[in-house]
Amino acid sequence: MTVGISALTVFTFVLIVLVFSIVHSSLELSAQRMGADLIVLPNKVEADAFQTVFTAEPSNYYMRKNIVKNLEGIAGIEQMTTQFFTQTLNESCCSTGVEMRLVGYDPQSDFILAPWFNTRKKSSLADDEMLIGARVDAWLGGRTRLLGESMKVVGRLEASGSGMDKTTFVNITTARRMAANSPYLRQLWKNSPPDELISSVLIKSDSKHPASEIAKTINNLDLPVRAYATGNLVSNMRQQIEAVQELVMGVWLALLLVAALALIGRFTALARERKKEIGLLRAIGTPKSGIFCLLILESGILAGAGGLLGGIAGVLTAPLLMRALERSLQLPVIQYSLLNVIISALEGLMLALILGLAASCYPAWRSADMSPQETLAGGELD
Amino acid sequence: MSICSVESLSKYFTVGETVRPLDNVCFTIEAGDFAAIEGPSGIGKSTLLYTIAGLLEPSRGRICLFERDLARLSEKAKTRLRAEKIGFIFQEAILLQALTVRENLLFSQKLSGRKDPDKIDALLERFGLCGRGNFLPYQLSVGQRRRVVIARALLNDPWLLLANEPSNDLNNAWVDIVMEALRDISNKGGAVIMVTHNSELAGQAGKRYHLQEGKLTETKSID
Repeated sequence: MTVGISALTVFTFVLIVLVFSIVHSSLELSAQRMGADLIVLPNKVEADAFQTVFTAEPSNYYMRKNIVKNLEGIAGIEQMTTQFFTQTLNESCCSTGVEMRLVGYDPQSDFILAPWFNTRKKSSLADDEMLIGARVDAWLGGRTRLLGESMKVVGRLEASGSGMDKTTFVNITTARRMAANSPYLRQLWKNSPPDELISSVLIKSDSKHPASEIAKTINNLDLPVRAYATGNLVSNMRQQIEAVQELVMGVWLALLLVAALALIGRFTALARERKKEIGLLRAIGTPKSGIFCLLILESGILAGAGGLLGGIAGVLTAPLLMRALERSLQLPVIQYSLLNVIISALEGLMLALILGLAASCYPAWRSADMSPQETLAGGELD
Repeated sequence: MSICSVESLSKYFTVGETVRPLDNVCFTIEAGDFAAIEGPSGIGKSTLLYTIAGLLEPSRGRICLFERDLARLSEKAKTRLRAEKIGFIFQEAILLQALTVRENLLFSQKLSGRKDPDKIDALLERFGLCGRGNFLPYQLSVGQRRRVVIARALLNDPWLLLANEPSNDLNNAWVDIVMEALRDISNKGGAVIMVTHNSELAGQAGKRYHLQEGKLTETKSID
């Protein structure tokens, strides 16, 4: 019972702390590893900007590629590259198996995938080659069907914790050709052929101009686009997550209070059950401080055991909750970090010990201070 | 040498009305004495033992143990005294439930600052508990638990043994063995104060007292 109360409290604590800490660090990591300080999207994407930037959900939004000319010359832009988004299809055999984003990158201007190419001494992807994110289900060196074409998997990117982990990259010409030829996507090209379109412009700012200032300049140009500083997108999302976190923590604090009261009751009952043992200990020469320490130690062991069980259960359950959150809130790919796991588990254990100590202090003091006659004879005069 | 000297000891409890289990009690126990205290149930015999052991504060009067005034001893000193020089057989066979028989005895020995596993083995053998050292209290019969409690009280060679109904739960053969162990204490220069309902056992004691309405009267004394 005591172990159970402690385990439940720590389980919920570890689950909440672990999930939210990992969500926060995944957000940070996504922003850091995206490689761009700003992203320019068609303005119709506005409602789903975060999802478009940080997840690998299929996103078929387009703008005319000549928009880039309007951005050239804006102060503070150090590098700029375009990407063309389309999507994979579940083609039952030899495909990636799920619908996910397929990104065509521009080999001429790219600075997002450039670090990978530099370390492999490869300049770009051939027309039948693809590069996959760390969590795309495909064999490195094998061939996979993408929008009806057989593509060779030539590389796998390092895990980044961002939407890139579930994204497949081909060069922009290939992506446009595949999109144009796919009968399933044909209705998207009624107004303009894919060759005239891009999905995003990724910008790296120089050190003198803040990304938010450049975004403001772009947004004032009266173009059918919207620029987002990736840092702002993250902080907006973080605020939303923090609001949910505060609510959940509030509920958890109420649970903590109930658990503390339950443990005080439990430890008091345990001490009462062992009244005679305590009297015996006093009678055979155990000092009051010894009895106090003994009861505190026992409570600590019980609470600690609960904490350990709760911590393990929390750590094991957290991935399930995180996957559910990832799907339902369209969060970036969540990275299960060992450091976060260890910190949360240790915090949970500490919480259990503090809870056990706090809840047992008063009952232990009462028991140690009780008169031996009362404890041994239950108050009877004999 | 006086082991225990009780002068004008009174103990009052107020539970709604005031109860006086001990009223102006006086007696002295010397080294080598074996005293029995008789009296009806609930009259205050256990209260007398707890007060002598320093577990209860007297309302009035003075108790000297080993020629030291208990009132002048700190709680810590009284605790030390109990651990080192006093053996206590409780009316109920109370043991630490989480510890085995041997661990219960080891724990008691450790409190007195000693370490003598041979003594534990000897006592287990003396009280027929040889094969029960690793048993937990709940695995023992009531009689076996009682014998462990007696072994624990004798473990540290107490100078004063306070025995509250030591024959409880024991058959006649074990009562004889226990009485012999108690006599050994007094024969070796210690002292025993035994509370009992059993007048046959009380008859084996050198001094015999009767407690009635708070007054202790001596009914037999050693010449």
